[in-house]
Amino acid sequence: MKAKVSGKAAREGRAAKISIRGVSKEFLMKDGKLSALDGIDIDVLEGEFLCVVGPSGCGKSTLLSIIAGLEKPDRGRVLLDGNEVRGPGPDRVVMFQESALFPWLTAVQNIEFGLKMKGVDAKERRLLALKFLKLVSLERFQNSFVHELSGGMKQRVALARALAMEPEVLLMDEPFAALDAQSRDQFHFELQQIWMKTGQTIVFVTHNVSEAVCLGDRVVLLTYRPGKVKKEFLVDYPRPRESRGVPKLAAIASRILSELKVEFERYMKEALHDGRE
Amino acid sequence: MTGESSLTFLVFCLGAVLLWHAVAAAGFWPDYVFPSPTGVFSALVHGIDDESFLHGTIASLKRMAMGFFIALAIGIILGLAISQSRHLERTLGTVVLGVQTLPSICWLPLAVLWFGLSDKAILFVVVAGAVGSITMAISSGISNVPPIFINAARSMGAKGPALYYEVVFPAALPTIVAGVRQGWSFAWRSLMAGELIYVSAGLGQLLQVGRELNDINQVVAVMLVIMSIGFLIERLFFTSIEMDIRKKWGLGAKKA
Repeated sequence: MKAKVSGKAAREGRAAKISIRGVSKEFLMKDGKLSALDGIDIDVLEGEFLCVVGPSGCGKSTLLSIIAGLEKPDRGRVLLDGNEVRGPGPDRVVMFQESALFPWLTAVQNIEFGLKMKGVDAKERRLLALKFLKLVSLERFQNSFVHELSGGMKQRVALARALAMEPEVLLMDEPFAALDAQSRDQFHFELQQIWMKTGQTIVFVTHNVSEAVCLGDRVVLLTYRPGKVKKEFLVDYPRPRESRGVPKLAAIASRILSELKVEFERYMKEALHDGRE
Repeated sequence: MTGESSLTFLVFCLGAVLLWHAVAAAGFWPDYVFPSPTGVFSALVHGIDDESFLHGTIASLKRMAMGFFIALAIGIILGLAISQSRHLERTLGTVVLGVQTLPSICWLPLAVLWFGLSDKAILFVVVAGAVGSITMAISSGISNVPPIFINAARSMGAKGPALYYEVVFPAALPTIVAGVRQGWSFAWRSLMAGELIYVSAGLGQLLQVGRELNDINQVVAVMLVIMSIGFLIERLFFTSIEMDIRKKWGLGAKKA
């Protein structure tokens, strides 16, 4: 199924920031090829918060890596503002599930890292890093090393590090999956606040449907192996949204979940089948 | 070391010397077989006084430094090369690993055949002793850098030499330091062994002279000097670097 720019979004006349065109990816396994992604077409609009959900193994993280330029698609291409993506770049910063913070640097030095790569001079780097550390309320921990921070704090620093790059698109790969529910809710709230302030284009990958519905303007559901766009859902609801207890969001979530259930059953069947072999 | 623990250590040393003295004074063995602390101490004073220990130490450390830096240079080049290519890892990497298991002193006969009883032979043994550990540490340190660090860095625009300098090396540093430390200790051992066999003016030769003169006091005094130098290099240099890394990475305090 082809995903089209939704009627509603098109009416707003926004340009596509990222165009994913016919992207396919296969992996070589010991018993043949595994098709991870098959003919993905998605447009991400300027300033849009897009969530991608799907069962584990649907290739959603692979899709994110391809947008980031960390992996190359076997077929198809990804365009950023109409230009083909040919490798990783600071215009598409990735925030990972585990904080990929560098343990040999302090919190503030971690945020400075990307700015240094960009060639920002030392003084300005520090000022910018502190500004973003403040945005995630961690200015007190600027000189802490990574191991001295809690899981949630690490992800805050990682978020600050990504935002400080002021990328064209922020790519988030299940960034809150390893956190406890409370920190996650807090993050959902803050991320929306930041997004409302900056209008940053975000592509957010998660297996958590209520998270996707809480955060996304639009949720794209991928199928299980090979990953194809199965359906997409517009989430039209004022922000900042609560993570739970909102009937309209819950209704959308349950629609997505019932679609997801079909994929999940397929996944279980195949897993059982694989196990028997 | 904290004040309290250095005091404990001092008391322990004092006790050990007293015990040593008691055993020597009991006269089970003649003093040319079992030296007394006072004899060793006077040999130590004599060696320091006539500056023979100083010159020996300088000669040995010069060789050590030279051999070690050559080994470091070769090890970095080889280690980088091996980490870059799976083919090199399977071929050259395996050979280095095999060669590394050879006790470094086993290079000595070969070195003497090639270079004669010369400084070059000793230098060769020092380099051969250290280069394997350093090469392996650098290649395995680099290949084991978590891909997520590299991906995060590339996604933030790091590439080429900056990626290596800013991410790969710092991430591999704990492994590299451990390997370099091992390399140094192998090199130090092979240096002493090498110096034994020829008029090298180093600490190893002082040891050999002591043996030739049947002067057990000098032998033990030189052993103490060699041990102290090794200990100082370990403590002042490697331990402090490792402590710094442990603190940053949160690898837990080393047992005191």
